[in-house]
Amino acid sequence: MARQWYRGKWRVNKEIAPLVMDVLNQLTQRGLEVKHEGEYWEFWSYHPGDTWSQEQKEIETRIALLTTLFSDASIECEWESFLEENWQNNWRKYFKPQRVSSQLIVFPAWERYQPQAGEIAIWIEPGMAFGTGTHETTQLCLKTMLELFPEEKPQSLLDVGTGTGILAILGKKLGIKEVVAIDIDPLAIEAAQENIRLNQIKDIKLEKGSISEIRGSYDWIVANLETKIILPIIKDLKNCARKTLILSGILAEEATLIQEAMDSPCRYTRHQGEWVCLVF
Amino acid sequence: MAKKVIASIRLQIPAGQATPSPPVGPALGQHGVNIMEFCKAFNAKTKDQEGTIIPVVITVYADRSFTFITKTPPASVLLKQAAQIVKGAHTPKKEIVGKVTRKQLEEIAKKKWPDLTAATFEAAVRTIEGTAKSMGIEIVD
Repeated sequence: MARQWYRGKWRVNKEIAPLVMDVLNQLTQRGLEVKHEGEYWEFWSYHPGDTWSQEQKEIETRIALLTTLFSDASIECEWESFLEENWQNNWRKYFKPQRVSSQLIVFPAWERYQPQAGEIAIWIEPGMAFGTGTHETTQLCLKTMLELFPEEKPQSLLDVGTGTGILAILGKKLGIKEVVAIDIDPLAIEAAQENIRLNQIKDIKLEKGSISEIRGSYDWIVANLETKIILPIIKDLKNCARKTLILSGILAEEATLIQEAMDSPCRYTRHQGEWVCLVF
Repeated sequence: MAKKVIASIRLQIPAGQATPSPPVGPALGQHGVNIMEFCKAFNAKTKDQEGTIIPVVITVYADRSFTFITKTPPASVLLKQAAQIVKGAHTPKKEIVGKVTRKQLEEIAKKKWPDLTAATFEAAVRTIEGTAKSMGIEIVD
């Protein structure tokens, strides 16, 4: 049977809140969830059912003392009980396989699947890097790459701001010979490394760095960033693209900003939700 | 990396000791955050501060990837360290459990400054002073 827990939902005036939090932290050594900081602070404490009555008594004694000592103390608490869940694994329910197109399906790392003939499967471990495959901007890039590949058959790809590495992995699975992925965030590089290993790919060149450090050019450049990040580096992106520049992470209303900065005609656009992918 | 924020979660957790139990599990699980990855990263980042409570802000993005930043320990924790006491007073205002100098108070305010909302440094020092007094810690010059 699932273990019972108690949650204390506290609302305390800001002058006294640090003291109440300190009391709770000392007594439980478990930590707190802070919901709001303002004139009144709201925070939640957690207590396992088997020690709750003892902890509650101790807490009430200490809080009664604070209330006596501080005439301005306003301390309210509502208790509620709930059952323990498998928190370690339940978050996974938010990640389902994503059918991006008839050709491509993206799985969370723990799903097993045998791709059919002509089908591409990519596995991604969700974590501290962007690009789990669930977001419109990632899907726009994936779909655009799938659509343009048969016609353009690029020999090289540079993925700028690779995050989980999902776009570089697709590049390799499509058969692009030379794939390079860069990111300025070391955590993204670690995540991409893990995902490249998960997909049993060996020859993606992964580097921590920015587009300004790139020497040479690539048939395809793909950058799923944000408009405010793309704009200052747009010239570097353009210069490195031998044939095609795929830009995503752009809100539809910002598309003209990118088009003006590119100063060359956009030859393909794809929309999904409020986002747009532009190809130059 | 088109990062649209869907949640910002604030916790206070003992350094180096994050586990999937509450508060971490229920707070992060409902947003689809990879809990073990958070625990490993938080514990690695705070392993040198064990025994201290660390405020942490976890930002969850639209594709449920996340980042987090740790903040300076609460003022009450820094004051106890400065006054070399284990606990605050059971009866603050009546009982003096320790002392800190004004210089120590200013050092704590300086340390907490990036996380405080005080308009001026003097106001930040006064906030820390208020916390010290309410804990039964005397300020000496």
